[in-house]
Amino acid sequence: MDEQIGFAEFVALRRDTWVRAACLLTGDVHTAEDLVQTALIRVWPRWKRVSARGDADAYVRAVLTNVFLTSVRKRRWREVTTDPHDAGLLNQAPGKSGSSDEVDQRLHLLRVLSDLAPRQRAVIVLRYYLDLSEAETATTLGCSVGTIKSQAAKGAAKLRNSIMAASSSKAKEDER
Amino acid sequence: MNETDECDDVLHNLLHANVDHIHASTDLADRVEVGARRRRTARRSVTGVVALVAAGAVAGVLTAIHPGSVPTAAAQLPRCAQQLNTYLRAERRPKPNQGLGNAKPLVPGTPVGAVVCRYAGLNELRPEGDLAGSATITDKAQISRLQSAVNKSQIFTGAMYCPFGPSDEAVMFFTYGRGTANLEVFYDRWCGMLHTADASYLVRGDLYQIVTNWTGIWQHPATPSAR
Repeated sequence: MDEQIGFAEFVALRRDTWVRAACLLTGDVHTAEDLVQTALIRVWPRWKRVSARGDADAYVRAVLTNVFLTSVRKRRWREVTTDPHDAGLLNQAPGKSGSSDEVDQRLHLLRVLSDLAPRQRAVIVLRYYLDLSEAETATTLGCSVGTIKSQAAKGAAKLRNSIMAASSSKAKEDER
Repeated sequence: MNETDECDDVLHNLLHANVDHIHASTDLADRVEVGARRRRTARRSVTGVVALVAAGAVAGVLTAIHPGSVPTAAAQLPRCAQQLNTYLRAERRPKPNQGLGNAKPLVPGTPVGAVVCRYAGLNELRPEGDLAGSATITDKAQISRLQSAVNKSQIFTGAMYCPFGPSDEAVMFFTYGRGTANLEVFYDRWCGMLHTADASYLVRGDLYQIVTNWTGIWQHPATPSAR
């Protein structure tokens, strides 16, 4: 069926972006894949209508964010892996390039990001990773632009402060 | 570019640097399709079950609103056989007194439907034993009237020789709903008796009028007065 071939192509084009965004939301690659899969399962039956409207990416983004926020709300406990080789995104190699300082900075950012409230985290990811405008982020999360502005400002400030604090403490250690 | 914009850029770059090495599974679309199909099947099953339950509830409500009509009973009411001798009559003779008296009603409980089948007797235009008329009763008041008339009959404790019979007979079925056996009552109009699998009874009351009103009268040259 044409709409299902279109869906597969669309997923092939966008899957990496969604899984990466989901990684930032959940802090774990496997949970991120599950999240994207759950969201796409909800999109699949409506694909014909969604693709005809021409805003499929926005629709998937909204579903993905909703699934994430719902899963966080429903979760009363959290699985913690005991496998040292499979400890989620925080222990994975972030990239081939980069000094040890950069690696530390990245890991620190992820830890701080995971400490943000889920909705605030979603705002940061949508605004600063997916580069959505405030209006687009507001539409995705179903709230006002004012709320997005304030949440983004607070979240970004926490991240900046935390990164700066980590950098200054690192500099002090280096001086010694 | 002001300081905030610079910080935003740093944040953007840091976020990208953290996850841009990650790649999604190549079979994601396939897994999604399988999952979506399973979800749809499960939803359809649930919808089917809900629809069945809802249909049952609606049928129950309709029955409560229109107590005279019992569609579920009507659906399983027996049909009259075309020939009287089709029925397997286990006992045509009165049984000896078993000390039951009339303590146990002939038609117990609350039947939800009844069928009356009248068969032609001797010297009728139709061949003897052919189905001459029938009535299917689902109205509660009418079922109750028939049950009451039948239950006025008295259990027969002796032996009887009936010179006219058997002729001009009717068979009555009382149903009690799905999954329960029908009660079969044979009405021997000439001898004024009712026969069930358990016992025989002497007819009292207006059973003849009820049966003939619903299924027509026996066209016999020597029709006796109504019993």
